[in-house]
Amino acid sequence: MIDRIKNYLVNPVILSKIVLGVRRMIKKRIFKFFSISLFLFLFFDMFLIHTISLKEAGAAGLSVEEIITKANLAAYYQGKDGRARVSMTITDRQGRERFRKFTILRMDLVEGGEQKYYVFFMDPPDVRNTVFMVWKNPKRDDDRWLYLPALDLVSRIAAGDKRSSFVGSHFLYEDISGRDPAEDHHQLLEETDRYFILKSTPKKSKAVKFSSYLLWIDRTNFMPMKAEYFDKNNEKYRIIRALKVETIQGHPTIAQSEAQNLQTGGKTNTDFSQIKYDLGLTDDIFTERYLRRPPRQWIK
Amino acid sequence: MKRKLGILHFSVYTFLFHHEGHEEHEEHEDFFYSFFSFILSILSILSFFLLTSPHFAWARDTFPVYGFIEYSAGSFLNPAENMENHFPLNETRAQFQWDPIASNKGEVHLNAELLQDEILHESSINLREAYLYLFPSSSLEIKAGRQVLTWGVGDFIFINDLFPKNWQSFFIGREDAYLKDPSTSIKISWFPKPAFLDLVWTPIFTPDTYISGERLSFFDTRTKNIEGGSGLSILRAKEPELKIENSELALRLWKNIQSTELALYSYYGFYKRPLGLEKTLGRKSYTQKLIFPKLTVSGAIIRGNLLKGIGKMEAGYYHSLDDQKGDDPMIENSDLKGLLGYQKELMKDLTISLQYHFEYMLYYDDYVGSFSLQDEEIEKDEVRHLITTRVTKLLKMQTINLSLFAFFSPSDEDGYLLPSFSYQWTDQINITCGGNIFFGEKEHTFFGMFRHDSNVYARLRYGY
Repeated sequence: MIDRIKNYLVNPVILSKIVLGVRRMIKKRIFKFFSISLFLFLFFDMFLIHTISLKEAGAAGLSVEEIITKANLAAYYQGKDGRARVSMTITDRQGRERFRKFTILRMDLVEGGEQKYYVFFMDPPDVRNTVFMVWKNPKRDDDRWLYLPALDLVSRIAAGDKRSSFVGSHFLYEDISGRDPAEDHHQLLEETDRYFILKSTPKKSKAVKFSSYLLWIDRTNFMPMKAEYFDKNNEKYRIIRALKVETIQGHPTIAQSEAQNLQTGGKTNTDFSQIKYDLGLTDDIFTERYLRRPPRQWIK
Repeated sequence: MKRKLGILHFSVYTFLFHHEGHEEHEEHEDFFYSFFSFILSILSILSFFLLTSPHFAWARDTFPVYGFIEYSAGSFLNPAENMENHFPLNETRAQFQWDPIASNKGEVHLNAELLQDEILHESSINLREAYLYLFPSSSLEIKAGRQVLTWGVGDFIFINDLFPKNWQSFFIGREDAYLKDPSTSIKISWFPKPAFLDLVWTPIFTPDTYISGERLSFFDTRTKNIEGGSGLSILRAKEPELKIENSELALRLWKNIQSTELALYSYYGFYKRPLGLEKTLGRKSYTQKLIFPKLTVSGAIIRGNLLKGIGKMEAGYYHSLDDQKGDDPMIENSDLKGLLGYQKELMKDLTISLQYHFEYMLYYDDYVGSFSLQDEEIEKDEVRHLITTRVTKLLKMQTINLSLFAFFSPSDEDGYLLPSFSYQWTDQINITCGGNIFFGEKEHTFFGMFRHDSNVYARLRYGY
């Protein structure tokens, strides 16, 4: 009996007919009582659909949205703030290597939302002591600053394409600070013993190079372990992988990752060290004052 | 011979033999020159091996010096007939930076350069930075010593930034960083809750390194001809006496509201270029001397997000204290300066920026009235308009930087183009080539006067 009611409710044709009929009734202001009862009815109905989709989403009882939200938090919002020493090895198609060394300080303003980043460069020589600061705003353009010590110059950088290369590596700005999950439609493709495999398609497809990407999310800790990007011809062109995950202060943390470009044939390996969370960073560190005067106690 | 006040400029021959006969010290000059060349070469080679080789990693760890060695050369494109040098730039520079102390209590930073200059035939040690940076309390910072200072929002246009600039370096194609000369100053920054205050006191007036005729030629309003470029400064200005009241004071009161930056500025000091003439009665006749007239500036900036880019505005009122009514033709008039700018990333790794700048001369009627008939042709306009654009494109994983900066003044009918190509070959090696192209209808306008200084240059740098 219950199953029959469920089927009846989930059937989209019947449902839409009901909704349309109800709208007409409300418009004509026939029977207020009816509209209220219908509201309750629809509410109940949505609840049912919701529980069904939950079942569809997986044995863990999580919706796709919940999985992607948890993954976003696991990868980019560990603790209230954090620090990591990053060394990057950029290898081009010919096998030539370039190195980047910098310290990243991060502070979360809104869990899953606004964040501030402070990036202090140690290597290569031409960018030593340069500071790059980002106020990440998922709902609008990021604010970016650059401090050039040789000129004592604090300059603003026009918020650009979040999918342009970060410091000339194969990682993009978005890989470093996270892509807003609300920018894509997500779909649970498959579940294995270890991973949730999600397929995400951009809501604004013109804004990005990829047509979709697949995301492997660890079932145990929701850490995104691999992402494969497909271009407009549906060919795989970019892979990002977590090579090593460590648990630091209770937070699973990527200690090694790799970004590979299959079209241009280069890759970048990144090692994170001296990782620490909940340092007690304050808001004022992410201001012009500390661009000129790096907060050494966190950067060393 | 040269303005090097306040710089620990180790041009020994200049220091020792400047006032003696020229022939006498030629030998000394050669000796010191070759001696320093020799020392510089040895140091360069030593530092190269010591600081780059992995076998000497221990040396790097115990004595963590960083910097670069750079060779740069440039050539004029259409030098004037009376310009003796056909090359504005031919030098080797080795920079050594060291941070003996870098903690959350304070910092000590040193930046010294060995420079072997083939144009002026001199070797020198320049102390570019040497400062002590102290943080006595959570809301107070003191930075004292030789330092490079910058503020304001203009891109190569400075209104409220009256810290010393080196226009000569800029025009001959040295790296952008050399547009800023250091000054020996004390900077006190106070960070109370409502707004922040910076106070910079420079006890000894430090002028710009202006175009003096040493390397570059210019239109000399006195002779009405293109002069200079001979290796000798033909503009020699009298600097203010060493007195406490002749020191410079610069203030900034600033506050950021979200990501919008606001600041008020104030400056007490002198024009940074010798924009005044002083007549003094000599034994037989009047002599004229270039001076730096007294100046105060008040101004403001605002910078923030605008239409998916960055918008900025800067304004300043230049009050010429030695010519308050504007009727002295020998002293620069007061003026109002303004700037509007916008910057945006058009597409991936392609950024454009636009600036509009004006200078509105006050008491213009008095200025015009004070001119004699024969000088009328070199009169300035009441308003000088200037437009700049910058286009920057990054290529090849951001290792290639193509850029074009252009100044154009519709009122002066002149301009200045700075094309450049920079390639980061490896993490250490950078190759940069570019040009400085001046053009203008008239000979006396701001860029038009450098019409014979157009040049191309190349730089090869090894950073360590």
